[in-house]
Amino acid sequence: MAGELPTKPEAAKSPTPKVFNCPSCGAGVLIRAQGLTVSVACRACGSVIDAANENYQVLSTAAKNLKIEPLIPLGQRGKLHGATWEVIGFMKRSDGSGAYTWSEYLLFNPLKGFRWLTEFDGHWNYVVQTKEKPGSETAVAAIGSDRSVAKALGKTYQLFHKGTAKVTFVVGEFYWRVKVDEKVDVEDYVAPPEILSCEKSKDEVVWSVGEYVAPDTVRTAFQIAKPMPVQTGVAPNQPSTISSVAPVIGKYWGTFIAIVIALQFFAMISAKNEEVYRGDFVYRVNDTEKQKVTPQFELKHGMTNVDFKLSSPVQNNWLEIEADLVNDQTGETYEFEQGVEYYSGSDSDGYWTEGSQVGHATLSAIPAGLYHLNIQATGPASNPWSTGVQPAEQGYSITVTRDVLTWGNFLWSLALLSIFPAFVWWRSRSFEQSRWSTSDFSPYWSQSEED
Amino acid sequence: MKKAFLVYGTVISLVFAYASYTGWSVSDSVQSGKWGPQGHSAYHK
Repeated sequence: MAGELPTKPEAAKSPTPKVFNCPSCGAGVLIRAQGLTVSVACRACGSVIDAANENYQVLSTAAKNLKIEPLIPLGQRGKLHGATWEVIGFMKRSDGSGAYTWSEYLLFNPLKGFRWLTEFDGHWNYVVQTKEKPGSETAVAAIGSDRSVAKALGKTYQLFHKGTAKVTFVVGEFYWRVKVDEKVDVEDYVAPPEILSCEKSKDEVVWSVGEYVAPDTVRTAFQIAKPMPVQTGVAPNQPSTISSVAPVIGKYWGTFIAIVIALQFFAMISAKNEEVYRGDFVYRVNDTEKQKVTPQFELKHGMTNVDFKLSSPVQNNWLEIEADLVNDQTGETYEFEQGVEYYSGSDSDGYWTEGSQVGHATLSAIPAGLYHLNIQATGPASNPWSTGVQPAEQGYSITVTRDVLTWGNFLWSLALLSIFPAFVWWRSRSFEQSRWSTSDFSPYWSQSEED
Repeated sequence: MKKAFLVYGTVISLVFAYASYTGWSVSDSVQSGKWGPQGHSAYHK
């Protein structure tokens, strides 16, 4: 899409189509944008003819074996972006290596002028040349450095591609002297769904802005009956639904995390930590009555959690209790188990300890009422660290505290709230990595990969 | 998707607030397979 656009006043006229004979092959050549068209490529022989004067000189001839039929035929009209456009020119271009080729359709509307419709790997762009060029300082800085940006039209575009573009085939008419093998330096900057392109030749610098168009939109607009080119990969400026919502999801996530932290902070300062019972017991292997029963105690103020703290000065030993919290009014029973074990010694690395002499069990959502505990302790029949067999006797105490601070719900909430944003972030990142996989300026490349 | 997450996050926050108020533990419910405050046992070591 090289070449400066003709001036607007001329474009505003409604040119009358004109036909002349191709000086190369004699076939009829139609000029639809007379007065604006500077060169026209014969559909029959591919010769590019100077249409700026009545002599119709042949500017270049096409390779005889190169005949490409545009997917959208010349002369086809279609409604796109609120206006009716006629396809008047088509060209194929390739990058410097020739590995990548793409199609460009020149669209014409007598009132609006020229636009381009480009197609690469099944991805389409509606392109408009822009007179508002990026600020010269920004543009110079952008062109001179990698991973740079260009600022134009109130947006910041990231550099995606830098290289050359060569015309490999033309047919139809153009507003500049198009030539096969014509080369320009190209820079593409992206801000999905837009792509800002700069084409530099010896004589001019042309900036244009492309907007991603869904293939179905193009097919419907130009009534394309043939199969559309198969889409492959992610286009440089292809919009992503998930990438566009990711920042909003991130904001929501931050808000919810703040709410949950505030709730946990409130729970922290409002937890009563009310001790309702404390009792001391002794575990003996030879006890005939294994079960201990505590006096009655009261849990007040509605439903709450209850913490049971088991303490025992075990040394290289263990103790475990099985307990039932029994509601004396309803008979409802809540079971729990808790153990303590503590070991210590010395080895070549010095003194070591393992385990704890204190353990906690927490029952959740216990209604208010009068309760007692049935406790049955178990422990080793003998002290395994002493010589000989001796009866084990181990003291322990149980403390019952209502309305204690717990962290489980808080951690669960953080995890559940983070699953959705993590998925969105992963999908968005995968999409962006695919987008940038064909770019030499990918922000997803690590330093080591670059080296 | 934004609305879905807004609803999802609101539900999580409300459940967390309710659990904090009643002393209901999500961990207990996961272990027991029963949801909501219902007077079941819990075991934390």
